[in-house]
Amino acid sequence: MNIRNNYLFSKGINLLVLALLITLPVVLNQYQQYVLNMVLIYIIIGLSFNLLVGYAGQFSFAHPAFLGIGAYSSCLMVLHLGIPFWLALPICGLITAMFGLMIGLPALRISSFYLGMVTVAFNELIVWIFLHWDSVTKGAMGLKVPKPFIGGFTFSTDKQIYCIILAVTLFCVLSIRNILRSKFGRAFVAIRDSEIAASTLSINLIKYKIFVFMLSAFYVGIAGGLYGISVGIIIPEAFGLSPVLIYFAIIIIGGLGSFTGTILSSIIITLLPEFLRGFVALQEILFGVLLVVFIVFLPQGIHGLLLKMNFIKQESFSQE
Amino acid sequence: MVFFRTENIGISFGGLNALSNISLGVEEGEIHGLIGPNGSGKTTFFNVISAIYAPRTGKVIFLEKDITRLKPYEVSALGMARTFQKSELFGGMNVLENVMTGFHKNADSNLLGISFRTRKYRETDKALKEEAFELLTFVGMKDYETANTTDLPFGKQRLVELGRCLATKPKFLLLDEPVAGMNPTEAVMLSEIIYRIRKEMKITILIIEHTIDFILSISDRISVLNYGEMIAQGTPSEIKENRKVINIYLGKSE
Repeated sequence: MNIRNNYLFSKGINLLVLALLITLPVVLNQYQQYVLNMVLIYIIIGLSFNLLVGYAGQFSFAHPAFLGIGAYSSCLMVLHLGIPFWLALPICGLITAMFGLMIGLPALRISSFYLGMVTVAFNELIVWIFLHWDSVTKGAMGLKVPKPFIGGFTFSTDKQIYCIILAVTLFCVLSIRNILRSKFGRAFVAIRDSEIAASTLSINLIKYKIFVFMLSAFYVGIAGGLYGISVGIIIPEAFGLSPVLIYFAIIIIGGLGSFTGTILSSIIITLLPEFLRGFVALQEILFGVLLVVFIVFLPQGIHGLLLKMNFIKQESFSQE
Repeated sequence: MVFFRTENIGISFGGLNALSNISLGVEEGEIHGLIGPNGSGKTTFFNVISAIYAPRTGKVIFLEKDITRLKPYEVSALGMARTFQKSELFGGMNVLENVMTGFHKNADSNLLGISFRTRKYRETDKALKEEAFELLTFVGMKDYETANTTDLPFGKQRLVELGRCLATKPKFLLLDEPVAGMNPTEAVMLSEIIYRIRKEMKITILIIEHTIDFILSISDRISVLNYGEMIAQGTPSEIKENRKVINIYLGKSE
């Protein structure tokens, strides 16, 4: 079909973006490279947060804690158990998913507002543990993250770490997209749009609400592992409640339940503060203004805008 | 074997009896009509048998199994599907994907296969998509495959909902006022679809409907509810002659 050629993120453009991502490190300085690493990590966080909130219509303020659990657990596995990073990363995803299960369980009994409260409490509890379990987490001093290595090769510079982050991000982005386009994605949207109809189509609401929490936590845990190696030292403060506002900003500005929108807004939201380094006060104001503008004028976010301009297609929940 | 029956179903909301002592049997292969004035408890009855409400008294038996205390998804897995009076389509998905959601139970659920889009998964998924398209063709909605469900007129939404129900491969189909929102041509088309569902798919059907001509022409047997009580049961010609029904439902003839 011809019309499809107009769409942003068609196959050709995807390849172009990939080529760009592979060649970019050549021209970036060390600091810019670090920022690019963060952009990719935020793309994973943004997508997994949108998976839960935007696609499945559930709530969570506990995602910073999930990120922290991923970061600490992967680092501790490498430090104390001698597990290599490439193995510790998926395991830390699974560990975080188990915590997702713990949070998903109350989601069945309580409605969104109270669930929000429970997740806030959970987040605070986890940060408290990070802070006070000195013997393991080194408390407020922070935990130094060992550089990952495969065989004899150590990934020590930001550019080398970028290789790991890029590969993992590609996996996360593609697998989230594939899951959304399967029966799982359809079940999540079904639960969001009409619980009652979903339940009469053999969809077990309880199972899928828990599952989406676990899935979202899994990816954030992975992002946490990457976050650890890219910042080099993890401190409890980084996983307090304030980052959750950024996560919400990402999915609102990108568009709730939007894939391309989330990727674009993750990039924008991560880069924005970097462009405003000189004006810290302005940063916060601009951030707030941006959020309000989007909520009032573009409730569907970048996604809605691109859709109107015919740059992207409707979200798809089946294989092309 | 009794295909489906309820025994003395009773349910009340805040002291008000919405249904009392409803016993109704549906035989395999029949089209059974359920009529009654507004507020007579028809939809409540549907909600009880599809396990959305738990009744205060009585039992629901489907395929010789007591399903009274099951969850809606379990009842659905046993082979009961229903439509809703107000359309309950998933607005975030297009028409075809709505129908595909109905395949939930039978779709490939290998998470790793899905994540990596293995060939096996792609093939089973493609087959599913084709099957969904066939169902859309069956309900006369194939031209709307990629349409947004929220953009469709109400009558067309009902057809999509019907297609989505059929995707669950039910043995027993409950239709809650399927003609609502349809013009006369669409209603005629729907009655043909309903006959074909019974004939080609061997599905037993229970219909709630307000359009009296529609229900009299399509049903093998009809049950009449009024104020939560069963006041008559019988063939369409018996119901037409029943004085109680004429008085209460069709209005006094004098």
